[in-house]
Amino acid sequence: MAEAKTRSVSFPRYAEYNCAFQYIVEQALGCKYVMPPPLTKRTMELGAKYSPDFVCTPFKTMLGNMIEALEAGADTLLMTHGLCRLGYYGELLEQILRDLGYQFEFINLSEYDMSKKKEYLRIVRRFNPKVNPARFLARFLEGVRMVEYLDEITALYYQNCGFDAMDGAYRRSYQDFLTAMYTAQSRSDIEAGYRTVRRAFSSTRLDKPQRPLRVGIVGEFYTVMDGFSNLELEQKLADMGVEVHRWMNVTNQFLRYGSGQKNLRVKIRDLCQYDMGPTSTANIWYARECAERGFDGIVHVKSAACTPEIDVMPVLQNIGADYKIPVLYLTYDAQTSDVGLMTRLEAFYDMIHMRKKVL
Amino acid sequence: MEYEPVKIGLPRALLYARCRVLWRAFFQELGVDTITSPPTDREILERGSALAIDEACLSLKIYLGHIQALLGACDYILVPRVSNYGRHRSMCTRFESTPDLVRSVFRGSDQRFLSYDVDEEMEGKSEEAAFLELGRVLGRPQKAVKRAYRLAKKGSLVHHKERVRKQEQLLKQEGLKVLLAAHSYVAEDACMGRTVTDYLKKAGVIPLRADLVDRDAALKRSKELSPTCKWEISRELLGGIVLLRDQVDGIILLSAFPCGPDAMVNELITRRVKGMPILNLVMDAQSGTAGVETRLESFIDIIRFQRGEL
Amino acid sequence: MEHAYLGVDVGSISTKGVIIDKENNILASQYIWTQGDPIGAVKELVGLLEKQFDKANYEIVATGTTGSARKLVGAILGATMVKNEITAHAVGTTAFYPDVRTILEIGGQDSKIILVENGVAVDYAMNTLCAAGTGAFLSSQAKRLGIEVEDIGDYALRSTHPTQIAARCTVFAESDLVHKIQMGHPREDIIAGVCNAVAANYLNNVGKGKKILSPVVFQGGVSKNKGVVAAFERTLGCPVIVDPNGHLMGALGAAILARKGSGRKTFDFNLVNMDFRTREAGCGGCPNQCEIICVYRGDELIDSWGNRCERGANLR
Repeated sequence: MAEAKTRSVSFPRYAEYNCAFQYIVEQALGCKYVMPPPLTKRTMELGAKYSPDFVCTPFKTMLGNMIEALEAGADTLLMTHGLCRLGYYGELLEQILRDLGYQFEFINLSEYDMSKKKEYLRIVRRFNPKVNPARFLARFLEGVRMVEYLDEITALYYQNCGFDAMDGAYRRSYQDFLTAMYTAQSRSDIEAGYRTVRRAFSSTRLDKPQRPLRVGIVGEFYTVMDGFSNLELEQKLADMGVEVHRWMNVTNQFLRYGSGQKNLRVKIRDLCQYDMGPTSTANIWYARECAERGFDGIVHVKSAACTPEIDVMPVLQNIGADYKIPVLYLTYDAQTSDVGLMTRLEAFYDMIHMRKKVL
Repeated sequence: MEYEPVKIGLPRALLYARCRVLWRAFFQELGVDTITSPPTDREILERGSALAIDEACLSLKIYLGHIQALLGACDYILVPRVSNYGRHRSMCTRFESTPDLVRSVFRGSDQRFLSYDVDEEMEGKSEEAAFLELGRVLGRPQKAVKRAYRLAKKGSLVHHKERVRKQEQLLKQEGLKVLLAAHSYVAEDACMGRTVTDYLKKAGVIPLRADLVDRDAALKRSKELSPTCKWEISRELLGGIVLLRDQVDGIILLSAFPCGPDAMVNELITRRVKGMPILNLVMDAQSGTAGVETRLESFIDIIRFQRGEL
Repeated sequence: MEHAYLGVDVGSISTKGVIIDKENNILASQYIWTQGDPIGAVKELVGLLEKQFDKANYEIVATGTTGSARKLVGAILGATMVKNEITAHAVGTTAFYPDVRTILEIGGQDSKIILVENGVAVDYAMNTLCAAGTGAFLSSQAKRLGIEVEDIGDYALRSTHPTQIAARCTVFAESDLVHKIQMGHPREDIIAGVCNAVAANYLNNVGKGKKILSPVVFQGGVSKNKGVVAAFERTLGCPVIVDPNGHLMGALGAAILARKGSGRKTFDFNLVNMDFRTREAGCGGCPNQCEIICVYRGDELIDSWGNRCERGANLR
């Protein structure tokens, strides 16, 4: 019976990656994707209400958004594995949702041994037993390509949108690109969307000083990328006229960096001998890279109670002291307000702006 | 062969509770002196709190206080890194970060630190390999190091077995029994778990510990409560609860604020262990004894009331 | 006519204002309680400043606002400069203490630390959400002990054996304090303990990882408390400067920033007689339910803010 019905799959909102999740679920797995509603105050309130107190904030956001996805008609929820507490999200999320009385099927990647290739086929078959593995792989890779484009364009966007001399044209091009990705049905849709935005970006006049203020963003994998969770930190900084640089994204961390991890570690051996957590090496390396490239400041982003990122902070403090680069530490929890963030950001901007004039 | 005398400092926190017999015996076999920091007191806790990032867990704050207490008192301070003992046998990332964190925090001092790295899953580095490396750094011949590790490992297993046996004796006693589920470094710390067990004993309750069980059996049985839990220490506690729940009157989940794994695992335990009074107790650097005692007292009252003894 | 500059700092507890000339000399200054009504407070403040101000020889050509109500008050005063309180404090303090390296600030709800090098802020931090260890905490504990906030300092200095008090979190601190009172600790020792705890908590939280170099200037409402000053001096091992005008530094900074800024607009003292009100409008555009604040002068909407996206903009 369940086999006959097409699954309605959902995975919580995460930055702008849901267009790729949707593409893979629909085009590669042949299921229906239920796009959860955008993250809002309601999501956070729902999540915080049913979560244990000092679990990291992304758990609360995901729980809230899963409830919203179920309300929107999803019958199958997917949760990923992970190296930190993320790896345990699935089991607890499922338990809480079941205790609330929801009916659904839960596919928890933590139940599989993700180091084994053959497990992947088992997972794929669970979504849709009739999947043709070769076709799946081809279309899956198209979804991966979408992620790469998304990361490339997003990076470009935050580096430049603060200097748009054409009244928001840059921002509109980026929004159009996102729309194209969320509606893409084929490889050619993806490629066309990408070409269009590249062209639009390069034809938008930018009014950028010779030495603009440059800020590097590092931090916890979820909060650093998700605009709702970090209260649009990057947009806010860019709107002040800052070049915003962030290395951390799915492409760099998983698609390119995965195999080169050890080599990255070599570059920070004087600061840090081992991996201190899932993203510590990349964050420490990139923070120092920003310092060495003469950036004006670094912002470290994490959700409350994120142990690995708390542990990275002493190393970042040393980088800040050695290179005399200001580091702003931001901790986000369910109550963090826009006003509080704005005060800190404005002061940070003033500080690096005035320093640049004096130094 | 004569070696230069070396003294190694052992901070009485985090892995110490688990590894002290292993460490002491290993170094003793190799003719290396050790010195251990005193039990946690107010000063250690406060000095550690001043050194740690405010949001870090109480256990790390206490750990840094112990390192501070050892500064200058030894040639090296032992700060191991344990990522995992294999698949689904991970430690909290805290134990991955400690050596680098400690080096960063104490960058200004000329104290030297000694580390070993256990990471079976990603790097294939077993505990034995890590200790061989440790012996090599100390300049001891490999054969002697191997022997020292094996003897020390055996000694620590025997020691644990002995403690389990003692606890089994306690189980046979008459009286109210409460199971304390806490990471061993929380359960045995003078400022955390000890205040709880001391109070329970004073109140005429027999405190038992979920971590004092056969570890292999506990790891296996932990799946019954939580199939995807991957933290070694949490799994031992989960297994301990499965093994002992029928023999106790209540469970105290004791955790150091804001412990990452406990925040999730303890939530799951309260959702899945039914029909048993459970107290969730979180210790903060500032939680005075007054508040803890009030909560323990009312918890014991509830159990006694349920048994019709009040 | 000489040019003058007005700076206004509206915080949750108090409202401060100064008028300076182009050499940063103070021509008029005033300090009043906000009492939960920033509009009323700022109107009263402006009236009081007007009485001290030499209108025959000076004219206010630029206005700066800072503090938590900077936006609202900026709209009302027609400010040419609206700045966050961290920058304003740094600018105000360095104008009077050009060598300052560290500014400690503990106010009613907020606390912050600013590190300065060559007259420029190079690093800063603010307290996270908890109000423990701020002015609000001190006054609630004083009330509990039945003494006036102003007397805390004198009590604390009389103590020889300060009691250990936990002040990390208001909830923990309160229960600890009650416990210590029940155990019979003398009142002055408990008060000294509270002062020590405020200083220790500040250094452990806001000051964590910051190299605190001398000269150190201590500001904000809590700097009036001699007990906390003494606790800082003891812990830091260096003198801690408390300026008698310390409470005005934010307003001064706002005035100086207004002077340095390019905006010019003659200030009209008549606004005291005008009617200002705010209205909160909920945007129903999405489940975010942004609360949009609209500011009116008479019936005229002069400003609005609070919407997260463009959807709320058409509410104006």
